[in-house]
This record gives sequence, C-alpha cells and structure tokens, in this order.
Amino acid sequence: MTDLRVFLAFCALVVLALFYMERGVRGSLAPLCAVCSAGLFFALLGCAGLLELAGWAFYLFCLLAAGWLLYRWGYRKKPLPAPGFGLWFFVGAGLLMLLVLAVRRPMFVTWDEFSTWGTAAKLMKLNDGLYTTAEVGWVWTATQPPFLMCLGYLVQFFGQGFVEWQHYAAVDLLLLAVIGALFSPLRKQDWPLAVPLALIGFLTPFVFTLYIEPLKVAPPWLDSLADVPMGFLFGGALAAWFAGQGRGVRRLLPVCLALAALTLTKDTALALGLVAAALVCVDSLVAKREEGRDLAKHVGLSLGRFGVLLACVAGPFLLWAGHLSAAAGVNRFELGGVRNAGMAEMFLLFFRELFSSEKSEHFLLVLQGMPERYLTSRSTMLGSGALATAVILLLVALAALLTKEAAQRRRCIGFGVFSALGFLPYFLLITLTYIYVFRPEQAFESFERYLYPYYIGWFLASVLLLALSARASRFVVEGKAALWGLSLLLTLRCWLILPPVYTAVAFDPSEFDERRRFEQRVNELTAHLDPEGRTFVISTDDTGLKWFTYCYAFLPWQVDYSYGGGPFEIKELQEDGSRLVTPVDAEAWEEHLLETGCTTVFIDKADEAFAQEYEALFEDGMRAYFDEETVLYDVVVQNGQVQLVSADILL
Amino acid sequence: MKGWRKKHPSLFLLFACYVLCLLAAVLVGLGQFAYNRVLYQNGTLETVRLTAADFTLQQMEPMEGGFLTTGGDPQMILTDTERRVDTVRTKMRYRTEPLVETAFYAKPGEPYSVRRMVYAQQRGQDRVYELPAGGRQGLRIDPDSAAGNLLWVDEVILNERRPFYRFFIPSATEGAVLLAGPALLAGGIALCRQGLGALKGRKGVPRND
Repeated sequence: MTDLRVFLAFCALVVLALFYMERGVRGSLAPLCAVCSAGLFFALLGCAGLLELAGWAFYLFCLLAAGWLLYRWGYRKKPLPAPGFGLWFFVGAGLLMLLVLAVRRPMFVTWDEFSTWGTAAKLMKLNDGLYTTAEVGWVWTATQPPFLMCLGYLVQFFGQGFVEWQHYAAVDLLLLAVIGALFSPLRKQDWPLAVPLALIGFLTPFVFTLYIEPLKVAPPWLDSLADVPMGFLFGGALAAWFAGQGRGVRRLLPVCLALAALTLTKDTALALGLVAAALVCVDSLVAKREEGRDLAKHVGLSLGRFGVLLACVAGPFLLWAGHLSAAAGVNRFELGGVRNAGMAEMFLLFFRELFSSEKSEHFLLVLQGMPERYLTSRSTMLGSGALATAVILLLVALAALLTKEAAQRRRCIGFGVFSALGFLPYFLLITLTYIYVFRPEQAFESFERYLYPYYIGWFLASVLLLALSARASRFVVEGKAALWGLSLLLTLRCWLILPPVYTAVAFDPSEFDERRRFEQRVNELTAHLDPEGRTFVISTDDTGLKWFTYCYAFLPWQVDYSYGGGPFEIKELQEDGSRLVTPVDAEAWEEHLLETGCTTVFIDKADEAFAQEYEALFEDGMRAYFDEETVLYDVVVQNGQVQLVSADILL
Repeated sequence: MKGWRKKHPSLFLLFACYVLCLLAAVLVGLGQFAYNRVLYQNGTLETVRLTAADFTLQQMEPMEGGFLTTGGDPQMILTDTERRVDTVRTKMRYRTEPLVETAFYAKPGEPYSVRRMVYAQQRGQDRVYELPAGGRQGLRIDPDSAAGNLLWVDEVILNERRPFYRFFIPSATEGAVLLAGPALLAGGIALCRQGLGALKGRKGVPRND
C-alpha cells in the first residue's frame, strides 16, 4: 500500500502538468511547473503550520483538475494542446524510474543524509509538520531550506511511515522534470534529438559529480542531498526562459517557479538564483526587439522582468528567513561558523582583509588554494573545473556558430560571457565560506560538491542553447549531429569510469542489505523502549556516522547527543576556531545522564578499555553485555546516583 | 504496412530499429546457447561438485566444522585457476544471513575487478552465480561481506547447465542498452539521411525537408 502512494503522487503531478499545459504553458515545461509549484505550495503552507492541509488541498485540486480536463477534452471536445517530447518523457521515464526504485528499494547511506537531509524528510513525515521545530534529542539546527523535503512529503502523503526510496523518487521526479524542459525546442521533425537529450540529461549528474571509479553504489539518482537538484533547477530556470513561449505571465511563470524552488533548495542557491535572474535579464536585453517597441521600452521591459525574477528569488528566501526566525529563533542572515559573521559582513570582512597588509595564514591559504584547485584538481569526469568550464563554453560557442539567426547568436554570446562572469561571484562565495564559515582544518572540504551545481546548471543551459541552434541551424544536420555525438561521448566517458553495477542503472538490492539489517535491529530495539524515553548510544569505534545513523533510525524515539558518538570526549569550539577536547570520566558521564534525563543506554560496541573506565556505573560491571546477554541497560536513579541495570535485551 | 511506412517514416524507422535490435539480442542469445552446448560437448565445460578444500580461503578461519569470517571481505578462490566456469551453485549455511554475496572472475595475472563481478541470485537455500555465457577462468567467490559470521560450505557445484530461457533474459545494463540503444540508433540513421539530403541540396539537388 505504501508503494502505491508514490504512483498516486506521480499521477497527481502529471495531472497538474496537463493542467498547466491546458492553461498555455509549453508542454515540455509543464512538468517542471507542476513539480515546482507543488513543492512551493507545501513549503508555503508548511511555514504556516498547515502541512497536512496542504496535502489534502493538493490532492483535491489535482482530482478537480483531472475532472475539469476530462470535461474539456472529452465532453467539450476542445483540442488537446501538443504535449511535446518533454511531457511524454516525464511520464515514461518517471514511471520507469518509480518501478526500478520500487523493485530495488535503495536506502540512505551517506553521512549528510543521516545528519541533515534524510532526518529532515523523515521528521516531516512523522510529525506532519516542518522539521524546523521538531525534537530530535540533540541540538537540531535545521536551517536547510524545505523544497526537497516538501517534495518528499508530497509523494509520501498517504499512509504511514517514511520510506527512503520514495524520497529518492521525489527528488528524481524533479530532475526528470528539468530534463523534460530540455526537450522544449524540439518540434516533431527534431525527434532524432530526443534520445540524445534524454541521455545527456540522465548522465549529467554522473559527469559532474564523479571523477574516479566509485567503490560502492554511486549517489547520482539515489541521492537526497540538495546539490544536484540545485544545479538542475538552476539549469531548469534558464531552460524555461530560453525555451519559453508566449508573452507576459505565460512566458515568465515557469522561470519564476523554477527560481523560487531553486532558492528553497539550499542556502547557497540564493547566489545561483540571483545569477539566473541576471542571465535572464541579459538575454531579454539582447533579444530581438518586437516590432514597434522602442529601445527604452525594451530595456524597461527587460529590467521589469529582472525585478519580477528578483522578487521570486528574494520572496521565498525572506519567507524562509521569517519562518526560521519565528519558529526556531534562528537568524538566517547570520551564517554561523568560526567567525559567526552575517552574509554582508562576510563580504566586508573579505575586502577589508584583502586590502589590509595583515592577512591571516588561513586567508592566504584559501585564496591561493581555490584557483589552484579550480585549474588543476580533477573534480569532474571532464577534468578540472577549468576544463569543465572550457567544455561548457565550447558548447555555447558551437551554438553561436551553428545558428543562422542573429538573435540566437546574440543570445549565445550574451549567455557565454555573462554566465562566465556570473561564475566569479559564486566562486567567491564558496571561497568566503571556506575562509569565514568553515573551521581551518575543513578548508577545501567538499570543494567539488559546492561547485558542481553551477557546472550542472551551466551545462544544461548550454545544451539547450545548442538544441535551439541546431533546430534553426545554418548547417541543418551538423548541430543535431553535435548533440548526438555529445550524448555518445558522455556515455562512453561514463562507461569508462563507472561500472554499471555501481550506478542507478544496474545496482543490486543486496548492496543495501547492511542498512536494511541496521533498520531491522533498531526496530527490534525500539519495540522495547519507552516512547517518551531518551537513549544514550555507545559505539566506541564510531566516527560520528553511526551515531547520526542511530539518531535517524531511532526517530521518533530520541537518541541523546552521547558526546557525538565515538570516544567519550567533550569537544568545545574555541574562539580561534580550534577545538578543545576533554575526556569524560565516569562521574561526568553520570552527571550527563542525570542532566539529560536519559532513560536507557544502548551499547552498539564497547571494549574492555571502556568497561574499565565506566564499569562502576553498571550494576553488573557490564558482564551481561560481554556475556552477550544484553545490549540495553535501563538508567535507574536512586538517591541522585545512576545505576545502569541490564534490560536483558539481545538483538 | 507500406502505407503506414510512407505516412510515418520516422515511427517506422524507430519501430524497425527496435525490432532489429531485439532480433539481434535474440540471435546473440541463441548463439550463446549453441556455443555453451558445444563447450559442454567437447568437455571444456563440465559439471563438477567441489568442497571448501578445492578453494584457497582468505579471511576465513576453520571453526565448529565451518568457517568464521575474520574480515569484511572473505574470499574463496578456486585453486584450479585454469578451469572454465560458466555457472556456480553454492550450498552454504550461515549463522546469520550474509551481506552482499558476489563472484569474480579474472584471467591469470589479471586483477579482480568490479567490472568482472556478478551478484548471487537466491534459489531456495542455494545461491547461483551466472558468469558470462561460455564461461570464464579464475573464479573467486565472496560468500559474505561481514566479519564475525560463521558459515558452513556444504557443496559448490560448477557448471550446472543453465536453462534455455536464461540465455534470453537481459541483465539490467543490457536492458538499459536495449531501451535506449535502438532509439539512439534510429536518431543516428535519421541524421545521416538528413545529412545526405542536405549534401545533395548543397550540390543543387532540391532538398526534401
């Protein structure tokens, strides 16, 4: 039954896409509009504390829309608008993807899924509310924007329980909707380009996120992190503009929806949203002037569009900032981190330090390291970031050369120049976060992951421009052949680097057996726990990942902070960004258990050294654990002293 | 048919490519079946029943009549590295259900690689590994991916003849190729035809698009 809800959600999204199409949106852009508007609707009502109502309203609206469409097309015999390749692709590929996921049932495996994205999505399903105010048992700074989690909630609205592959399905539907937008320029006779474009879209996350052979199933298409969707929405917003049709609202609506959704995908998406809005403005300026429209009016219209798009970026950003401030008391304009600087303050700090004679060592290290890594470090299948940029700009140049329309050539040149310029502030933003937000030892951590959203969006928009040029090419076939060849080259590149069994195409379900077993173990354990209780987790060989995984898997049961998993140490952040580490003795642990109100202690793994240090707190000196009689101890408080008593529970 | 072909030439081309590729896949399956049977006839492939003694064991220590996995990558490497293996059926018992079970193959001197790896298919209590039809040398079975599990190797049967229909069931990768390949091929052919048309057009022959 829980599997059917995803297919129901998919049908609802298709109906919504058809509704958009009937209202004048281009068929290929309709799925993007449907997915974005649905996610935004849930986010908006979620911020108002009406998430469950959003679900009922959404499905009711889709039901009514289906009836209305049947009435119009069936009873009134109104002509059906051309759905375009994009809508067909969304329906076909979406169905296939859902079937593959439903059969193979992949699960979360990466750190950030347990610490951030997956936990937020699970909390939403469990609480029927936004994750920002949810109790998770530890300091939960849930500032990540809600768009992806809202999509996850949408597809899992009916039924009970959170299912991980269904959250992947929600994210993948968004990616498919963006790929659908790439089909917008295709007319019936351009069908030879349909499969190459689908292939390029499908392979794009692999090409820009992987560069060496993976050692386990690779994340693209089996991922709940926001980086790839952010890149896709950046490209999707540009594609929606380049390939839009009509005038006024109809032309701008898909772009507005994609940009608003983009802003609510991840914190750094604000920068991408602003760049996309500026690129649309430039494109609007260089576009052919309509007959009878003077230059001043043309410029005014372009700036007006820019203003609308800026509002679409700023509106959701401010809405989310307001919600965070009201619900969680978090100031979104402060970035936290080592300097606890605000957004504008960070730029001021940078320029002050840049022109000052006294620059910190860390500042110089990051400032020199970032361009060096961009130029030389291999971070995509195409090579370094600089090489990826070169390939993308080559595609834009090809698009400019192939077209026979002067306006299209101006558009390509404008896009090429300003997208490259737009990359600079984005690159600077990432540089600044390494200087002022991350700890010094985290410099360049996830360097590739923070930059590839821009490459992805940039690449998708370039491919669309090439498709547009190919359609109206001076050399009718060459443009199409270039795209056909590009799809083959990307396939070959992926084939050389990626073993198919480690991709979403052919992974084996047994690769997730360990996680399944983990979940099963936790379910058996939580059956013995008091729902109101709080569990302290001990896992001495943990680096933190296991603790996050337990926190995630235990929900709605709460896991204590447990010193962050691993060794019993208290880590405190110093003013200079370094960490003060203090070992915990038995007395301090006892105090912690009393303070936090832990009701049980779960031992995932403990060794003799651990027992020697803390056995005094255990009634049996941990004998039952080492004799494999229990993994769970009850916290019994007598006269203000803690005794850990075996619960005789073995998994 | 002819009318339909003329009316919808693109659809016909697409349809023809799918039919041709499907036929080609069936032919490949038939060829593999015939080749397999020949290999069984001339004795290159023979059904043999082995025990753990026929394998070099790594990260597996004898215990309680079976083996304890001492690391996360226990391996059973077939001692007879020259033997050609087409299918493997393992009859094993485990104290706890094993994690990922795979089989690798590699020519002598060639490293084991994930590109030469097949996953186990569960058939009742047994596991079956189907290597590429025709067989490969250098078998290695990874019966578990977890340390601390106890397992008993009752029997390993090599080269049980696979049923006829198994030669026609594509793997997930082959399925993906069969899905996208014909459409890509049809697109390529259409582009070539358009290209030839354009070339004639540039030489003064009227174009037909």
